[in-house]
Amino acid sequence: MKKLLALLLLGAALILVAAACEEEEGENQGTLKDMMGRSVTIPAKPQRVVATSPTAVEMVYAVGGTLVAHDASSNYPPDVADLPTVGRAYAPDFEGIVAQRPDLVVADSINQARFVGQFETLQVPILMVGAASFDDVETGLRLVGQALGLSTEADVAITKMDKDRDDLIAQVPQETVKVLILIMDADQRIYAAKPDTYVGSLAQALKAENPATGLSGAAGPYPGYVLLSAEQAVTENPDVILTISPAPSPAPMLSNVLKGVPGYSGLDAVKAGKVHELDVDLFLQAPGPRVVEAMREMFSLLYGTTPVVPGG
Amino acid sequence: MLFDLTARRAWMLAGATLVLLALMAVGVSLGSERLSLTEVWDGLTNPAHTSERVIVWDLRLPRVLLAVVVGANLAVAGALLQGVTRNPLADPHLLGISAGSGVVGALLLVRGVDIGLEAKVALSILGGLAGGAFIYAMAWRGGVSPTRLTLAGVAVSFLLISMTTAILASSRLFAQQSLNFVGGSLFARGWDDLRAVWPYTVVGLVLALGASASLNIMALGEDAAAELGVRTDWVRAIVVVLAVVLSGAAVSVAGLMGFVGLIIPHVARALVGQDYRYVLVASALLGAILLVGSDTLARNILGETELPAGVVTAGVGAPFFLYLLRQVR
Repeated sequence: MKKLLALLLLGAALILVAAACEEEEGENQGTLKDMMGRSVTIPAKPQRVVATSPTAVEMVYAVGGTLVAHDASSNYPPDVADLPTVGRAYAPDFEGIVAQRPDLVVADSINQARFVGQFETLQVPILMVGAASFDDVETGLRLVGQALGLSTEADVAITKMDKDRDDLIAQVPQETVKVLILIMDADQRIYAAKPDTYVGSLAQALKAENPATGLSGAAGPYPGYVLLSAEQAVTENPDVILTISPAPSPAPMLSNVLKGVPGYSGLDAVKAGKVHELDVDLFLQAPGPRVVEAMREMFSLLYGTTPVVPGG
Repeated sequence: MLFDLTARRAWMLAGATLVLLALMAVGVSLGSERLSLTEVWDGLTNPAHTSERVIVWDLRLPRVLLAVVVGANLAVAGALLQGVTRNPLADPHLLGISAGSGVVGALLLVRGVDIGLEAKVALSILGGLAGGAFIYAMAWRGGVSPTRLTLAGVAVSFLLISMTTAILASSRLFAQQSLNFVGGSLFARGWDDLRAVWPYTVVGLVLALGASASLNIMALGEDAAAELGVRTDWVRAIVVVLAVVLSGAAVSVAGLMGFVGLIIPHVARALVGQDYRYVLVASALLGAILLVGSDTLARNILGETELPAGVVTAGVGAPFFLYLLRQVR
């Protein structure tokens, strides 16, 4: 099924390339449909690429591309530290982006969707990609690969990701683990991740049971997370609690303060010491090509055993 | 004496126009990217597709023009409301009019619905009209007295602002977004926003000038105005509607930008006297000056990131106003 899909996509890409050649435009390699459903005309071989979110940055590097500038929120791969920054992911510096004279801008289809109008005034091809799941990461990589003329590299990366993911899932034990993935906002309200969040989709892929699935609490500042009352947490009584703490140090980590939150001290997970902090970059700020690494880390926290990495 | 005032007005209006043009030039010249004056000039005049063109023409210029529009709108709306309520503290915020627009803006922001900019501006104005109508209904007792209008306005304003806050708080938007809306900001605004609001500004300002003669007469007092044949209730209603249109359009692009509508009309009166024909023109110019200056500061003061411009309007405007208060008379 996947091969068929890959073939279809390859066919589509070939048709696009052929169409571009027929039109004898020469300058443009064709049109891509990005992850917001926009048609983007891509230059033949983008030389000056700017990425404006951690996801976008990591996708460009994962297919072997390079950037001339990135957003100040991204910090991976370490190479980006040497590049100029163009604002933070939540408040892009549009002038700074233009000043880099990019021929392609890769922006975030989830966190930067509301800026799409302003991006379009820059008169540069804007490719919107984002990741709320494993499949999204692959879709994004494929698009970025096509845009940069690095489809082969993207396909290699995707094939490896698929294999690594399958290897990992084959190791999931029989026992079902019930997990709540919690995040706290600036007002110290606690929210639980549903499966349509990135981190929730990874837990689902690892076959964990997520009681937040059926909850319909108030939405929070983090899309896909719902407000969770202490009473609901007590009722669900998860085996494992995973926490994400977006506020940087010295703000306390949620995993540390959770046992002090009324109601939580009696939970099995808290009593058994199965409250684990998730890396905020890997699971919240920078969903992307490091998805397998994230899944492996979550695997060990959920099941208490480090997964075997073939050949590694 | 009469000649003095006329000459003084002419000088003041000409001076304000020059200051505004100079500030607009500064606003277009400064941004997170440092461009030389030749590059700025090239960006303004040469339509060739260059990065300077995009920075100057597509990013900076529409923002500067929007600052002019929003500043003029809010200041004139404030002057109109102060005239019609004969209350020096009246302004679109205090009277619940921009709060009505604010509720609409907050709902659209929270729901994340994209209805197009034209519809957004129109809805924002309708929200303001609903707020204004509610205030009018509450203040009505066989007629509307300025005092009751002010009091009802203040009460409704608090009600609607608490609703706006509740909507924003319940949604738990990222602080940055809420702050830009509550504080007032032109971040990420462009030509499309300008295209959606300028017609309301032009029509609103022209009609406001048309109403200025009636406002002058009403300043003499209710009874005197009635004796001179002014239908005070009608004038009041029309002027309130004009103020709503102007401030609603401003709120739809800039959020709840405070301070401009309250303070600028007083500065205008200090400069050109009490005649509303001049007060309105001076208010428009001074409001534009304050906002162009504030937005330029807001864009540049922190480097890559921006302050909400509304923070700067109050932060810079309030001390200046206090200084003025001690200088005049």
